[in-house]
Amino acid sequence: MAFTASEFRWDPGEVATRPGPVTFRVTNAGQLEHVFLVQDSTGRAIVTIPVLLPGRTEEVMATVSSGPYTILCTLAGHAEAGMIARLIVLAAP
Amino acid sequence: MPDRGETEHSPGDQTGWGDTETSQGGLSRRGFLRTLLGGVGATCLGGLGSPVARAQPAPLVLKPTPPEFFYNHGSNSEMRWEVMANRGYLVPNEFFFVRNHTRTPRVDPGTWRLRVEGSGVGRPRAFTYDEILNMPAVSVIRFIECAGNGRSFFEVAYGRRAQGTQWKLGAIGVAEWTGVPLREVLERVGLKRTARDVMPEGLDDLRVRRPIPIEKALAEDTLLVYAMNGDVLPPDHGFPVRLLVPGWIGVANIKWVGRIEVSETPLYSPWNTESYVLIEPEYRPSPPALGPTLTVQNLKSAFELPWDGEIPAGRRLLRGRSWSGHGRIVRVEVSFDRGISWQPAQLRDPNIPQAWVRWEVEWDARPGQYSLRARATDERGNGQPASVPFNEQGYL
Repeated sequence: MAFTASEFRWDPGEVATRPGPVTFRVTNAGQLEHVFLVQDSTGRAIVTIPVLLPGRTEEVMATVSSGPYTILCTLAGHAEAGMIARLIVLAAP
Repeated sequence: MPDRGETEHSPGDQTGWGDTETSQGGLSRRGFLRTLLGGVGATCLGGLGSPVARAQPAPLVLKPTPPEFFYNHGSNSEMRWEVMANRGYLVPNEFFFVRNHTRTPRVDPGTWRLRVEGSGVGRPRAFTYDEILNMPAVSVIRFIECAGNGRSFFEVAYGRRAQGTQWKLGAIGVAEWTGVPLREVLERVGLKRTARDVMPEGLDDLRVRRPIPIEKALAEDTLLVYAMNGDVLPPDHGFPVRLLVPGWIGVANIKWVGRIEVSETPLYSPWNTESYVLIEPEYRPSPPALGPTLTVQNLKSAFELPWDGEIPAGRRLLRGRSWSGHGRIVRVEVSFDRGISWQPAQLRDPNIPQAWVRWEVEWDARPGQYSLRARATDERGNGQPASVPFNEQGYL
């Protein structure tokens, strides 16, 4: 699942997937350093890329279960400026 | 810049400037600034009419930061200490380090306003650039230092990298700052006795903002600055107006200030809750802050030498500088043997509190590899410990 960071947003801003293992492929298309953090609905961090330099692409894997997740950049002020995205994991019917 | 002959200080005097000199100098300086601004304003405006004009894509830092003078870390440019070797007391604007949380905004001084508002003032209003310039001016010499200066040494000491820009010791500069005391502006908006927190906010695209207590806001040398070393404040350093909060961590000195909130209740921002706090198990969180919030800078010392550099052997005079957010430096010692033995360094004039002191020490340098150390003590008795506890964001 691909995400692109820029100042100050994630693209896509909202995405859905099925439960199970997910590979996050994150690219920094901006000029500033960013952080990629996925947290579940309780606010617990699931996975993170702590240093995402401009121009770089990094990958991390996580296993997600059904429910809403939030993706954000944790650097001071970045989420407030718009670097928040939603991931909705939909259980199979 | 020639060394400034400062007026005599008693040990408790933190102010460090002479009012009679500056009120005279202030008039001619304002005339000089207005002449400069005609050119600067036009350059800054760039044909766009909005108060904050940005081109796409904009460079993060506008002034040249060549690698022979700076270590470049993205939006941050760190001064190389060897640049200050045998220089005068002040850091020239072109060598002054740049710490940007985002990119330098271009601000039109003609349409810029400083809004001062909030529950702690009775007459909120906006000030124009000319109104700020027309207020009684003062000049002070003080350091501005990033809270993370020295952060890279946590990895050296602990084998564990602290989060943030891996500065060595070059995120510090001393300049002469000219402006109007913040108190002057707060009085004009009917500051209430119940006011408690004052939060300046920048016009950058993150709106970096951080509160200070009212007592610090009202200090004589807490200024709204518009000139740096006698020149109009450069864009990377906060044009048109920035805060100067002497002795405190760098982030308190908000650049490109556009708004000041004054509140009767405590104020919070990401920069005093999530960052610029001490995070490590021994520091207790004080919600909403993740840990104790940083205020006054601690002590540091640096040699005017290249990092991992080489110098010729022989009798040499080594020079360096030391500083403390708490007051004047009173003693500096240097060790050439990794802290086993220390010898005193000679302090040089001037020695301005919450700026820095230059010092020198003779060394009979025999060929070899050395780790040079310097430790300072300030007038309050604060010193430089051999080590400090690790904290996640790499402060102090």
